[in-house]
Amino acid sequence: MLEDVGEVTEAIPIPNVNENVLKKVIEWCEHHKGDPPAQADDDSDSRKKSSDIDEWDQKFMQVDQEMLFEIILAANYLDIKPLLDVGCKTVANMIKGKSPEEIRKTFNIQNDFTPDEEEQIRRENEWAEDR
Amino acid sequence: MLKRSALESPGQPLKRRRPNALPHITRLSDELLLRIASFLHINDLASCQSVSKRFQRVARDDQIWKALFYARFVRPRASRIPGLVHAPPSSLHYSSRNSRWLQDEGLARAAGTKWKELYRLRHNWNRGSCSVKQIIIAENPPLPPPPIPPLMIRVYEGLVFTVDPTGGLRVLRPEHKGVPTASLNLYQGSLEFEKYGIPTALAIDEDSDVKQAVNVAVGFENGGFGLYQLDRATGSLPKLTFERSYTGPAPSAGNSGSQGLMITSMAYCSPYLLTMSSSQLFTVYRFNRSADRGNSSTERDFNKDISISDNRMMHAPKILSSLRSHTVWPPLSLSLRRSAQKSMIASIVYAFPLYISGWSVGIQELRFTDDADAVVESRIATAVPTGFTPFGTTTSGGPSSVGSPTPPTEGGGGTGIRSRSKSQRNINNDTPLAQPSSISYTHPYLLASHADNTLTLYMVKSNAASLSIEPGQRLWGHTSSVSTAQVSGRGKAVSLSKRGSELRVWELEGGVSERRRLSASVKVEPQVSPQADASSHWGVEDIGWLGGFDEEKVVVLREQDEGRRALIVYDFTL
Repeated sequence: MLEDVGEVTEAIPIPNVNENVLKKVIEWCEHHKGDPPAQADDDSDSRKKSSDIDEWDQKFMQVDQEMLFEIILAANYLDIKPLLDVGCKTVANMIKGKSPEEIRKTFNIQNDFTPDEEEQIRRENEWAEDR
Repeated sequence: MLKRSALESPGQPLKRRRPNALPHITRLSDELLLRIASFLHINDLASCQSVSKRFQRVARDDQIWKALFYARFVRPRASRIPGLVHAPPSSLHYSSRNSRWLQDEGLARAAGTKWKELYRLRHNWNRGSCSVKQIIIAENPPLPPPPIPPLMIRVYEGLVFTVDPTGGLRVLRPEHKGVPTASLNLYQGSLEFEKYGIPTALAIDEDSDVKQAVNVAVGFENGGFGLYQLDRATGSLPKLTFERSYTGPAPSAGNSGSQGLMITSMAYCSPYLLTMSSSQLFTVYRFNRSADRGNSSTERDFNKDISISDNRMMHAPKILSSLRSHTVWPPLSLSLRRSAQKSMIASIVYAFPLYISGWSVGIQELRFTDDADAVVESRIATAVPTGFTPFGTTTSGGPSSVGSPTPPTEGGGGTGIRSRSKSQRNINNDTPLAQPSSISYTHPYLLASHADNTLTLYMVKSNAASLSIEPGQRLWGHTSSVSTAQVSGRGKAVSLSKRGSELRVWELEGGVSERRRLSASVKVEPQVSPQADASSHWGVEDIGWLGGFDEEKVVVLREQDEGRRALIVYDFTL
């Protein structure tokens, strides 16, 4: 996006991104500026494997949850697909292998199901367990 | 937003004290949550559904399950199918050339497809997990002559069709309580039990364009047959009713004396009907709703036997071809399919002995067009490699012509097209094949089962220029004698052991490579609920017959020694 704008001397307003987050995003862009252009196809299989985050990106994403989600929102807003994917993969990895209760704890999510509803959902999805 | 972030950024200790105050993830839009979910596996998606209502909605999203379905079930298979190999993955969704193949999955129903349900169904088939249900259909049934199953079963689009002398023609919906949803007494009008005997064959027209009705054909011990139509009225009260559309004795083929011989096998694709009799007489009929002037004398004879109750009744059929064989051995498989050039292909697949090295299979194809009254083309192929000469080659080619309607160009093996197989890969190199216990053919898959615990898969190639059968591939998996195997057009196959206890599901699409040969099947392991345990225990004296299968279930007939007869329904929707 920044490249698209070209050499403009005026300030570009980015109302939804705060300074700390923008610094992080710029840091990421600096490190990845030499990368080959990413595939445009969202469905391509290379995108699918969530474990394959490169080492630098993994370190980069070792931030608190608030910053992590701010980065995802900023990457989405600024339309930086590769960074968005790194962020989403990081969140996906935080979900992997966890029980529903552990996921709730991890993200501070309120359980809004009744025990009966929860039991019914569990039964509906029994087939997908143990793999 | 800025203010909030500034306050909360110090983070951890604050979070502990106010656990519900900072669910940062909820700030993400559904689109972003979906993007995260697209990186998850099914077991994690299952966990997410229990987290909260919002997570449940996201983890159930059809787009996610559609992508998972394609990644797991469609793309790997696409690479195995010739012609799809070079197609880039993205074009798979839209290519009209492959639409038929995609349609078979029900994938063409773009809107309203329940991808998660579809995924789950395929997942269960792949793992052989299903629920099982027993429907008792007769307590003390009369015993039929040995080679025929006591009750014929076909499964089509969720409906189970059965026919037997006492119960008549019945249709069941297994998810209902097992009460016949519709039934019809076979012996009414001019169709008398004394004259016609027991029903010996059942065929369903699976290629009908009429969605409201299912065409069914029943063959009898005396060679006669009946055609019926099941009306599927959709509406607030789905109701099934049978109507007779034709009953009559077998029209005779010239002077060949076909009367009074049991029909052993049938195929039906309206308006064509194929029958095979116990004297190995193979006949192709065509029915016309309008009076057929060319055949008026015979028609009048038959109409005496037919009680025309309403305008659904069809007139006596015309014999298009009649062939008798002296070298075709059971088991046989008859089939009818529409081909590209607006014609109908009738085929008979049979086993024949090679005398010195076991058995092989052959196929004869007859092509008809809707406007001609005779066979347009006839050709033969076998799985025997070139250069191999079984004893009596001149007669091993398949059924030979009798009666007048067949053109003189056909005959035994002489004019037929021999298979051009690569003899190095020939199956006869390892062990000679025993006589198959069953043969099932749904183009292009030809599957034979054997008493020696194996199956053999042959791929049939049929195009305008030639007909051939590729060398067979042995399939291992069963640990006891296999009595029946059936294959569907998509390459899904089901096989049953003789005692009925071992049911296996095979994924044979595009053929089976060396690598996949040992893992091409999975044993069906029903999830047994405590109250249903009687249905999953097979006694040593029980006999199982494979009835048929569709996209969702497999139906097996169980004959117990104390004379109880039951349908066992394996349901993969669980």
